Amino acid sequence: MSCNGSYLAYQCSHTPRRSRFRRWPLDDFFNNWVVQVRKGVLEHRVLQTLAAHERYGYEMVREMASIPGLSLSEGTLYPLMSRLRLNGLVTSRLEESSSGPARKYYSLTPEGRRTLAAMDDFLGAMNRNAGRTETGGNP
Amino acid sequence: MSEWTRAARELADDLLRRHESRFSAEGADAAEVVADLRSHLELEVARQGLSVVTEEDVWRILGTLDPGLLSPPPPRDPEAGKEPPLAQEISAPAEVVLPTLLGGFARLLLFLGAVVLPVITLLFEVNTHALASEFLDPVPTSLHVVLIALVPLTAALALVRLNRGSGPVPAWMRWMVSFSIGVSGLYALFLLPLLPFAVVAILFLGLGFIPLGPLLSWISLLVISRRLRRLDVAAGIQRRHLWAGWVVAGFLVAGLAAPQFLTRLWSRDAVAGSEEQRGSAVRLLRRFGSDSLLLQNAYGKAGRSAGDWFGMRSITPEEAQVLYFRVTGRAFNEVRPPLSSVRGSGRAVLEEFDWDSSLGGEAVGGRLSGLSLASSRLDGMAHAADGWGYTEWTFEFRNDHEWQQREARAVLQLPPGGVVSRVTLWVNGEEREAAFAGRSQARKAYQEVAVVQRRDPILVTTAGPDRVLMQCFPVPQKGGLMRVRLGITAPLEPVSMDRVTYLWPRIAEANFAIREDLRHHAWLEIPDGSAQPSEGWNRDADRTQTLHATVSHTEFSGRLGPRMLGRAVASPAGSWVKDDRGSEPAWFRRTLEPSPVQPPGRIALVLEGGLKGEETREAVRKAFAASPGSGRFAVWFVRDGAQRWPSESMLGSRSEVAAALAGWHEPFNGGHDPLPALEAAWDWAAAEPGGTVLWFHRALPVHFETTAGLRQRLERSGLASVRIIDMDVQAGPDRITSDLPETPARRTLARTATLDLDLLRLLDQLDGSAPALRWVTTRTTSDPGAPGSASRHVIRLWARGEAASLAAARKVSEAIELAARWQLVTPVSGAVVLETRQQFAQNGLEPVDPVSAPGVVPEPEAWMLMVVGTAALLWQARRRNRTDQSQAGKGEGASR
Repeated sequence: MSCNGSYLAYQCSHTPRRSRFRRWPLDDFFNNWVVQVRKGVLEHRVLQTLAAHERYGYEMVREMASIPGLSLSEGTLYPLMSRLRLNGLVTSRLEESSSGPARKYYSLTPEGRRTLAAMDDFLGAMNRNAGRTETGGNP
Repeated sequence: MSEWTRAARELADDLLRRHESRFSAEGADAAEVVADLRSHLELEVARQGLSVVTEEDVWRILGTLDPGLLSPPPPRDPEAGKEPPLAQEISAPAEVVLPTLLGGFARLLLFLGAVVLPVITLLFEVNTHALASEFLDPVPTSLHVVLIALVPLTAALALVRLNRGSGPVPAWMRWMVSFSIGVSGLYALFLLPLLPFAVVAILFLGLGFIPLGPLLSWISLLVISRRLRRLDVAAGIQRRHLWAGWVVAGFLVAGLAAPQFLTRLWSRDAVAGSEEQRGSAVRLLRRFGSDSLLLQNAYGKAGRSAGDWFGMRSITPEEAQVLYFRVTGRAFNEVRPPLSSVRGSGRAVLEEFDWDSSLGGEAVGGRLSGLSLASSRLDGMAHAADGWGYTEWTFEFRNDHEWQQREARAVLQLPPGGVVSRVTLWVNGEEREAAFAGRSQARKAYQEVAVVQRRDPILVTTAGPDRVLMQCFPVPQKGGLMRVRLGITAPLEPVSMDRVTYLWPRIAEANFAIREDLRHHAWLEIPDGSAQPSEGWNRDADRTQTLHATVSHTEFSGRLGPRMLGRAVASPAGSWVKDDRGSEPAWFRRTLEPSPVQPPGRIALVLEGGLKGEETREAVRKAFAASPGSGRFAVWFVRDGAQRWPSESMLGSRSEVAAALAGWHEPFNGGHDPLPALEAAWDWAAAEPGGTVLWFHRALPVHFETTAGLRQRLERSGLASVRIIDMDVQAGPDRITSDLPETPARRTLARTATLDLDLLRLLDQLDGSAPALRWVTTRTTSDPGAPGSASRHVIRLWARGEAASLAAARKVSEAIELAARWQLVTPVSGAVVLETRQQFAQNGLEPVDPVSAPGVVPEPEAWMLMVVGTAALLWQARRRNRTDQSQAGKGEGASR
């Protein structure tokens, strides 16, 4: 994993010494914040991944791993996909594989596409507003 | 298609099921997620091409998918609506869940099996030596103890590590666990034959865990190893080739035990193999064998070996004693009983308890722990003109054993022609003199008092020519002391007509330790001569005839031993002494005369090629190279059999012998049987009249073969045939000489100088180029008319020879009577001191009158004894008279 960027540098510098990482209240606060941000962003990113075409779990894990700060394990992915399916945002199908068990492919439902579009709009607006605030301009 | 083990499937189900609640809490369909993860798990299995899926595989793959799956699910957040965090990547890993087996009870079992039991087993064996004595020695060396101790230590560390939870296990710990599995596995295999007995012992007696220790430890370590591996797998670490630890353990345990194993194997071959096998086994033992194990065998303390359990012949302690000498060249009892390199207090106690199987017997036996020579004092006196010397040697023995009384035994090597003429024992601080009687009568009395009644006796008997066995009992335990004294009358060794040498007795063999720092305190007076001191001896300015020294034991028992030269200044004719103890009066005189010159015959040299044989060879070579005299020589080298060397041809000059000796480069090691060489040399020398065998040897502490052949040659050939001259180069036991008869055909050369000088003198005497001198005792029954100023030692020396002659003529009772009259220890008589007069009386013995015993002050003459006796009688009569008068007076008073 690359350690470029302030957040990643922070994570890299603290990962081997988790005990100290845990000891500071500010670190705990930052940790919780990251978890919350990731939670929202992960779902958006997963939907984005499926926007182009359907994928199976292992593919998604590998693709997410290429995005700094958003890598996730199978133990996180499958509950997330299950929740998205229960919410009607994705659908799945099984396809037999010659090299092992049947693969489960996920794809977006129309509802999922609409939700992704809404999320994109929201995040775009939020980013724009956040950028304006940083430069001191009016919304 | 992969095959899942039942345990693997159960583990996968278990781990995934643990997180169902978390999945549900996150709003997912738990069953679907579990199914997805299981499917993904199977996909990974297929990708990795596993044919059999084990628990470890499940553990490893799930750990790779998500380490969080190996952790317990996070507790539900009590705050309503708040969902638990998703990302485990940046949170600290929670405690890794160990399989259910490692519950509290399982941990306790592992701790007991891998730590407690091995420790108890090791301590038990080290302290009691139980397995070693009844089965096989599992800890023959200290390094074995270290190896075994590593097993519980490693297990303890591993259990602590398991308790700490997740994270990689240090590589060294995995290796140590693997190594310990190897060690405990080997020992489990080693003790496998005891398994049925152990199970029975557990069932019926509650014992038996000791033999099971290694097996249970091995099983526990296997379980621990699997748990450690899971931790590593969970941390993404895979260590390979850990099996090498087993191999290393195997090589180490086997390598350390190899010398012991091979020594036992070769020992059997050396004792019971064919002739070729025996020779080869002894050579191998000399190079690679364990001397320590041989010594343990010699003391009967080696325990059992694997061969014993497979019907292989085991060697007896007696065989081991011979073997120890053949391999090392040393007597087993030169060294104290071997204590195991591994000994705890209990084992030490057991080992210290050595049953003295030689108690009261005629052998010195093995060295007894705790028993030592505490002090040694030698008081000597010599008369140069009459050619006698008298030494009183006072020993003090000490026994530091905690509870065992000890019998001190020693063989003393007397000066050639010497005889023990006084034995004294201190009982409660008082001197008690010995009774001199027939050998068997004296021994019987000793055994009755020492072995049965366990009281204070001392016995002195002969142990071959010029040797006596002294034994005294009991030396009290816990630092108790026992003090005894031996008086030894011996001829002075003539060097020339006006020079004689005083020789001290030496300790040839003992069952007690002699500390290196022990000093012998020696004092010598030669009233009629001028003493010439050796190095280290002191002479007082006003007493030139007196020498004294404090000599270390090494110097005292060394190759030369201490020796004093005295110049005879008295009349060479000697003076007369009257025998007033016989049935008829007789007068004796000792004079120094040249021996009749015999035509030189063949001279055979028998040299030992054993330990330190090179020193002997060099000294002999030096003597032969020193002068060019002629002769007919042949040389036998004793090395695992008789070897005539360099060829069958006869050597014609001393220089040829010197050259032949210089070319002898055999390895000088071990101990060898000289009998075949002696017999061959004797036969060769006997081919012409006047043959001589010069036998150079060091200590011979064991019986190799029967000496019947040599005895027969000496007894049947007569004086005209071959003489064997014993060139004793080291004080020590000599089993061959002690078996030989007292005959003029064999004599020990008195050592007065270095070996080369003594030998040179002898060679010159043999070829007639130098005069040989001898003491001649003249006995007459008619009064010579000269003043009788000589000592009774002159008569004692005559009586010694006369008793031997009488015994040889089968006049044993006369020999005993003569020896008893002159208080001598001869082959037919012994000296015994008992504690009480009653004990003497019960055994039909009469202790000698202290007045008649010799001493280091001049003995009183007969007239003086009569004066003293008369005075004593008068004093006693007067005292009795006074007592009677006093009682009469009292009686009168009472009647009034």
